[in-house]
Amino acid sequence: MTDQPRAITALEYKWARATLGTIYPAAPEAGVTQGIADMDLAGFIDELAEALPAITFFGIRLFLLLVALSPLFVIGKPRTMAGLGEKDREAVVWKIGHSDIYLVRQMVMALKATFAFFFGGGAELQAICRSAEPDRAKLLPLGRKNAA
Amino acid sequence: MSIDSRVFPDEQLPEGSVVDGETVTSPIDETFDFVVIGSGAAGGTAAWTLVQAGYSVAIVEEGPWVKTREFDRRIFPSFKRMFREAGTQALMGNSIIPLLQGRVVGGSTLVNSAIVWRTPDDVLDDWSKNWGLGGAITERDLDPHFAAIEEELKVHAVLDEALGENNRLFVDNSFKGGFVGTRMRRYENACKGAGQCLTGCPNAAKQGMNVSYVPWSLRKGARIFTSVRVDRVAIKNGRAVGVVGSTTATNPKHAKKIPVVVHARRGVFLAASTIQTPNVLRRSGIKNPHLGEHFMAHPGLGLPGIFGQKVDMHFGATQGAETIDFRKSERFKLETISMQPELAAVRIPGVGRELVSRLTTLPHAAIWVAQIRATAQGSIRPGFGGRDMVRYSMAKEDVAAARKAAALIARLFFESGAKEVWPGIHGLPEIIRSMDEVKLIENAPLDSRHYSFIASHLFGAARMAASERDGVVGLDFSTHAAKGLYVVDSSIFPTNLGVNPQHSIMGLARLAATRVAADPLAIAAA
Repeated sequence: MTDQPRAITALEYKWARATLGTIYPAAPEAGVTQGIADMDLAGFIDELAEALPAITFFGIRLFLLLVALSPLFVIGKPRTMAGLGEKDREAVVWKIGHSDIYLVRQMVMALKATFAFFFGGGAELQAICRSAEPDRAKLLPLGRKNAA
Repeated sequence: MSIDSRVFPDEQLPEGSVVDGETVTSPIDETFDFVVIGSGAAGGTAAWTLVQAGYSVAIVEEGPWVKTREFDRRIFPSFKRMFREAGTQALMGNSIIPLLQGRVVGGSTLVNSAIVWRTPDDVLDDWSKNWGLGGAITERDLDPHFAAIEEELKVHAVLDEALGENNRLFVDNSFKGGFVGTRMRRYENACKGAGQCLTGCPNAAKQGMNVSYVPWSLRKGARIFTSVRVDRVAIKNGRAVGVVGSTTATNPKHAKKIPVVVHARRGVFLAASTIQTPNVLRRSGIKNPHLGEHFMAHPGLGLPGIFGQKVDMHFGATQGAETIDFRKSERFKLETISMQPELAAVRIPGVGRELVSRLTTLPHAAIWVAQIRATAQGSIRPGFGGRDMVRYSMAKEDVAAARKAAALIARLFFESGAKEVWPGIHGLPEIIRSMDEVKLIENAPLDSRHYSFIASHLFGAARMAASERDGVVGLDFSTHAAKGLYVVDSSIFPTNLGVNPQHSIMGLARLAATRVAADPLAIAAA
């Protein structure tokens, strides 16, 4: 586990954890006990910084910053994402993600898509989504017209 | 721990046949009969055709060679190694449309679903009559090439053992949607249904160029320069005489670039793909008003449907079922696709615990997709830092076709027994649960910003035409501006197709290489 990414500042990382942890939190009731903030998020951010073109990584960084500083404008609370409770954080992300302004909602879409690369690859989720190979016999009740 | 003792076709290659730009330490300066830029569907096919005709061939590929044994089912490690810009490219216009392109030996054939469609007759007729191609590329010309490729790459319909539930549901229920769903024909040899086409087939069953024409060419004497980016084609006295470039690496920030020059005694085949080819031509000094213009695509729109029973998309052909019944009448084609959680998450409604809980229902999801034969045209220009900038905005009629297709897919899901459909259209409920609600999709706004499209099939931007006034590339596949510079990827297509393009690209590349190899005048001119 990396404590602090090299690619962004400590403050940005604090905000990133708050925002991304709101998009992809733990959901123990569904068998996912680790949210993205419990995973090696710092390591992934560094990996992104290495793999993406500089301008793309800058865009991700900018979106994280804008969402982190948005609560005043979105729910009227003069705090950053890191200073809000879970419910308020979720309200901020939900409202931005459902904004009628395309570029505004795209910020959350971009973060959701980029960090799905990491969260979706987590061990728990992979185990749930890639359960044992299905019983092939059950998969082949094909009608004659569809036989290969 | 078990050790896989299989020998894959991308292993045990002739010594010296692969020059890895990530490890070379001194400048490269070599000479061959032909240089082929790109190792994807077009480049791989052209190289194999030229090698078989007895010529010495160098393939220059910008990406690395990721071997079958190295494939990783996890998305990000694969994407950052095998996709251009780690899979984060996009078409920029009214809306932002993600774009996926392989940047690896094998190009997009390593990361696509190997779907086979011969160029439709109506497209060839259109090119002939309305785009000035006349008798240059006819069904009769292409058929023997398609047949040869189909035989070499083992084309057949998906077999029972690799079909999987996502594809089966589509095929078995298609009649309820009033159309005929069929199993896809693919380039594959003994597919085990690993469901990993997008990250490289771990069994080398999918016959991508990385396990077929490229290694076959190397075994017959060709060489490949991997992780080498072509800066420009060298042109002397109006004729292509080689390529000039440099080594690159997965992480350009830390790479030391080594100069690479590969001379071509007889010609250069440019097969860098629709997006890259126009900018390579520009950097080579080619000027033409159509260069970078008329870019076309098949934007895709996918809908997940959630079933009571498990679908388990991770098992079965990644894409295994389709219909072209609506291709002419409605300008769309329907397909299935399976997605790993890393890719599906963006199409799952909500944020927070609601989103994560829904992610865990993915084993019950099927995903069906519409590929739109869009009428819109875009343009390709050089972007910042050596990137390629694509401007593209969907036309209203294209969005209308997508909306119609989305409604059809939603209806078919419910007819097939799905409990929920996730339309992913802004302004609509995130989840619809009944046939009655499908009308919400039918009445959705015709604004591309409300939908989540993704682009993969790309065409045009260096189109073929009889005269320089109408296009960049002549009927002999050579650019009008420089002889011996043959463009053989889908950038030369005057229009899009309405079907998956890989087979058309390969057929045309084989036709072009065969003609060039057999043309004593063209060779003598060199």
